[in-house]
Amino acid sequence: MYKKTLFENIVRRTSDNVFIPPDPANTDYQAYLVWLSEGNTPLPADEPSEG
Amino acid sequence: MANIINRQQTFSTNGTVTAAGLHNLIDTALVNSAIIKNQQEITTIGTADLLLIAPDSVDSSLAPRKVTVQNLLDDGLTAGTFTSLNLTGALTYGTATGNRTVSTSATITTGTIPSLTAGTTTSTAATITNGTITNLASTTGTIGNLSTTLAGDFTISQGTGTLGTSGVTLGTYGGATSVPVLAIDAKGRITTASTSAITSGFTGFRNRIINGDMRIDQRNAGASQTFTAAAALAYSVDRFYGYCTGANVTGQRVAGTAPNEFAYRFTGAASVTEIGFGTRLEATNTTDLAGSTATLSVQLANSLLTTVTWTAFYANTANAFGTLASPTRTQIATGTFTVTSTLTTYSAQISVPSAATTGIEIVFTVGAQTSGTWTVDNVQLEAGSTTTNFERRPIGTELALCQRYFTAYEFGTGTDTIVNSHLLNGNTQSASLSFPVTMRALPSPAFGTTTGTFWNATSSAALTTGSAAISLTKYSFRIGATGNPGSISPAQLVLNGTPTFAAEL
Repeated sequence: MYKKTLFENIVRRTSDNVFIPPDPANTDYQAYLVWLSEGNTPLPADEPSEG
Repeated sequence: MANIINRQQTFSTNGTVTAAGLHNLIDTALVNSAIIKNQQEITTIGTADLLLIAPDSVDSSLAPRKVTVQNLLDDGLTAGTFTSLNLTGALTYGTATGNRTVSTSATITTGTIPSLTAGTTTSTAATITNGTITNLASTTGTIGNLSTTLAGDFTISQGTGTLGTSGVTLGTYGGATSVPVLAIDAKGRITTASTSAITSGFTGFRNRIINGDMRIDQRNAGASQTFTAAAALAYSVDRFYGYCTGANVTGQRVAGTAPNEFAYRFTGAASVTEIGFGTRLEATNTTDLAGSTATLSVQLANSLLTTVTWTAFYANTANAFGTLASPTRTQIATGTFTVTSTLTTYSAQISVPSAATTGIEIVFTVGAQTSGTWTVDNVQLEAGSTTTNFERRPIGTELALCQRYFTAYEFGTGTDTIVNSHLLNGNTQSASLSFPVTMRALPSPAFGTTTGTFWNATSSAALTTGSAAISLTKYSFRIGATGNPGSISPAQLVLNGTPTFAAEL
C-alpha cells in the first residue's frame, strides 16, 4: 500500500514508512509503478495542519 | 791387461820371423774389442759421462759398458728442464721392468704429446687415466675432445661443457596474476622457483562484489535480522539481500574466521525449504565482463547441508532485476559447491555472454536448512579465469562504495545532531543534509523511529515524518515539518534516530 505525500510526487510505502521518489532508476519506484499497473491507487496525502 | 793382439799368428820357439808373418799379425789385430772388454761396467751415468756406441757385432762379452736406452732415459729424466722436447713416438710411462717417475719439477714448455699413456697401455688418443694436473696454463692452444669429471657444478664430456642442474623445474614462472618466487644461491643460480598470487588487498579493485567480506552492516550493525518466509527479498549486510521459503530464518553478521573479520550466517529453522543470499552489481561496474570469462569465488560452510547452489544472472534491462516474485533477469550459469562445516574457498568460472552489459546478479541458495547454520564470506567476482586471493579494500573505501546504494545516519538520542533550518513557507520548516557520496539514484528515505524537533528562540515543534515534506536529489535530502513552529527563521532541527536512504538495485 502506498500513500501520497505533500511534496514533489513522493509517495510513502505504508508498510515500512519508506518514502519513494519518482525516479525510474529507484527500484522501490519501479515496484510502485508495477503496483499502479495492476490497477491500484495510492491513498491521498494528509492535509497540511495549521500550526 | 788381457790379450790385445790376435794370437792366431804364431811363431815357433827359436823359429824364423818372416815379414809375411809380421804382416799377418798386424792385419788381424782386434785392438778395440779388447779395450772395451776391459773397461769397468757402470750402473749410473753422470752428465760428464760419454756414451760409447758399439756395433751389434760386439756382444756383451766384448762390450760390457754399453747401456740400454731405457736406463739412459731413466737416469737422464730424473732432474732437469727440457726446453724443447719433441716426442714423435709413444711415451710409455711404466714398463715391465718397473715404473718410471717423471719428476714433479719436469716441465714441457713447448712441443706436442701426440699420444700420452698413463698406466700400462698406450692408445692413439692421449688419455690421463689417473693423476692430477695441479697447474695447467697455456696462453695459446686448444684442448680438444676433453672429458673429465670436475668437483663442482660443471662437467666436460667429449669437449662439451654442461652446467649441473640446480633443482628447478624448467618452465615459466609468474604472469598477470602471480609473481615468481625465486631462491638464488651464492653462484647466482636459481635453486627453487614457484609463483605467488598477487594478493595485495589495496590494489587493483579486482573484486566487482562490494562488501564481499560482510564488514559493512549499516542496517543492523551486527544485530540479528529475521527474514520472513515467502516475503520480498530483504537487504541485510550492505549490498547483500536474503530471502527464504517454508519458514522464517534469521541472519546475522558474525565474527569471521581469521583472517576474516566478519562473515554472514543464517540460522536454520524447522520447515525451511530454501534460503537465498545474493547481491546485484550495477551495470557500469560489470559491463566490461560481457563476452569474457569471469571467476566467482566464495567461502562457505554449512553445519547441516552439503550442497550450495550458485547462480549468475544478468538484468534484462540496465540495473532492473525485478522482484523476487517477478524477476526480470536472464540466467548466465549455475552450479553447485559441495561444502562441509569448515569454512572453505570454492570457485567457478563463468562465461559471461556479450549481452550481459546490464548488470550481474549472484545468488547463493541452500535447500531445507531446517537446523544448523550456513556461513558465507569473502564473495568475489573478478575478470579472467584465475582465482586470486580475496581483495581487501580499506574500510573507508568499502563504506563509500556501499553508501552509493544505502546510507544510514546515526543521529543517536542526544540533542547534538543539529542542522540549520529555515522557514520554507508559512507552515513548513525545512532543513537539509548532504549525502556522504552521490547515490546511484534518487534514494528512498525511511525514518523509522527517527524523531526531530524544530527549535527557534521561542518555541518548538515536533517533526512529524508521517506528513513531512521531502525533497530529494542524489546528493542531498531536505525535510520539512508541516505546521508552524514559529515565525522566526532560521531555526534549528534536532534529529534523533537512524534515518536511512536506499538506492539499491
